Amino acid sequence: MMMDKVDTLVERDLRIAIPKGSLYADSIAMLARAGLDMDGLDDPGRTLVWYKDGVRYLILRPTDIPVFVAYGGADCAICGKDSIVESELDVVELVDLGFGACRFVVAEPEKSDRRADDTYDRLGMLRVATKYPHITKAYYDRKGIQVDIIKLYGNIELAPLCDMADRIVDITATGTTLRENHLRIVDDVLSSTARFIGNPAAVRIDRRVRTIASALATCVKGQE
Amino acid sequence: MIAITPRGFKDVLPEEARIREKLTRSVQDVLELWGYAPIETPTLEVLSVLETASQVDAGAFRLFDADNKLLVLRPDVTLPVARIVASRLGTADAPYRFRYVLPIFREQESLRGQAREFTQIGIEQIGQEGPLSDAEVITILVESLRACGLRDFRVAICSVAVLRALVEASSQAPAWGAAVLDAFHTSDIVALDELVAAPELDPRYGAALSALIRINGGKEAFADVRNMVADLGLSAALEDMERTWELLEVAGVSEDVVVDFSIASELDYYTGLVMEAYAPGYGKPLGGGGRYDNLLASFGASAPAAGFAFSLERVMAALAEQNRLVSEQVGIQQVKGIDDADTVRQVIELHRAGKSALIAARKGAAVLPGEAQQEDAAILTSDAQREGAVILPDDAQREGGRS
Repeated sequence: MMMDKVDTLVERDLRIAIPKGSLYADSIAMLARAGLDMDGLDDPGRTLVWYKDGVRYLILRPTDIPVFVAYGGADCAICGKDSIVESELDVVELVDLGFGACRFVVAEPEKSDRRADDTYDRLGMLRVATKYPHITKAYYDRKGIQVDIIKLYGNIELAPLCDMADRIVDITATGTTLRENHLRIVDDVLSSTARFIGNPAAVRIDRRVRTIASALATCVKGQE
Repeated sequence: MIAITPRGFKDVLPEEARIREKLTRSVQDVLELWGYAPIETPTLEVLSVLETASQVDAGAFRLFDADNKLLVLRPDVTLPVARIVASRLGTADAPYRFRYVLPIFREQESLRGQAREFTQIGIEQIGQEGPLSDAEVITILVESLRACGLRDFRVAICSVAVLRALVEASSQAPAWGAAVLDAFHTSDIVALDELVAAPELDPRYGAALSALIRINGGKEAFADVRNMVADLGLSAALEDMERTWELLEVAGVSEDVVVDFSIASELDYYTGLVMEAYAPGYGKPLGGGGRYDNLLASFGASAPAAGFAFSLERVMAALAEQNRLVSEQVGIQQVKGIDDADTVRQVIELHRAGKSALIAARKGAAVLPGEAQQEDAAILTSDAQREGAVILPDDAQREGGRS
């Protein structure tokens, strides 16, 4: 796909952020289907920035993507809905790309001396471990349940197994990790898929962002 | 102790201050031409007073005074000006046109890299409505940004009246309507597409809403909107916007304006026009505004109102992005007479002639070039070498600006 030159606007390389990790391969494939030349990006090694045809691809940690997009470090990006919600930043959600489906769930130990509900009845407070404190707080506020949130950066499953928390809020694609750690799902918080997002200014004044968005939307429709 | 400032507050040293002064003056000149009069509001306001009109942003700085009144540091200028008009001026003598340059304070989360104090330049136009009034406000915003030296910026405009009419005409449950407006408010196109897919919704309304949030363009955009809403009997809502656009063409500013309904925001507050300004390479809006015809009524004085404000700091950041942030060269003569009285006499004489002159600090024939540099000086050499005056050639004179 040729990137349209934007009328009179100062032409600068378009900056597209791509998430490292589980969404990476699908993101590259999707952008390639939308007509962007992604050759060589399949295996970028330790590259942080990849330049091609007036586009700079930034390879970033998923949780940093909303920050780069909201503050104009990237003009647009592919990013999980989970990271967008958790960041509480101002980005424009343009297309639901459909892949990378996962859901946020509340889970607790299958077998435990005390059930979390009993704990809440007697102590009036639940301790919830999560990587996603904002999503967790919004969920429990909606439910009218008072919680102490413990922010962790990995292996959330361990927190209830060590009695540090009564429940966890975490993402799961298949539920395997939860089962392996003898946790059972008690509620759904929200479901997430990968989105194409844009910086609020870039979406409004850089036509290239909208051109890519409509090409991606066409790809997604074609798959359905 | 390390002598720091609070997070998000900063000092402004002379080089930056000069640029701020110059930009401010350029914009003030534009606003003056349009007949806007300066106004100032206090740094502190009574929170409950402002809240009678609008929910004061959770990000406002709050504090208690010795009377135990809950106060707020100026969170914006629109609310205080509405208070002034309602409580002191009345609407009988309207219209009013006010302009201001005032510091604004907003709480910001830690580690987000955001300022908590910034300078807003803006206008409030009270007592007028209709396309002529909307076009005036948009034109002044474009002319103000041009006066700052910005190029390639865009002022995006839309009308929440068109959006509201469409939502109301679709005769869906209020909760659905609120969710649609919220999707516009948060620019969430994905959420909007899900909402308009609701099976009980007439698909024509769904298609219109879905297309509306994607519109981004000039005159041709109106044709798109018109085609969508004409079938639904909603052309009237659009006519005002089209008339406004024609006036923008007459004013010669339409090339810097785009129609974009994805900017529709704060829908409890805006009643018609909404606008937001963006510059390439700068990821945040420079500023924005619109029409808030219900605002004064909440202070007990009913009158239509519109206005805009933009951040001086963001405009400077956008100018820096375009390498257009240029320091002024200031020509200054350094004077040292035969004695102190003679020095003063000569300095005054130069000032009377309209020339900048400063009293050289050092005794003796030579004044260090360093002093000239300090004042960004380019020495005027024309009527130099008068008796007793030491005029220094300045090798530190700068070529052009710096970015």
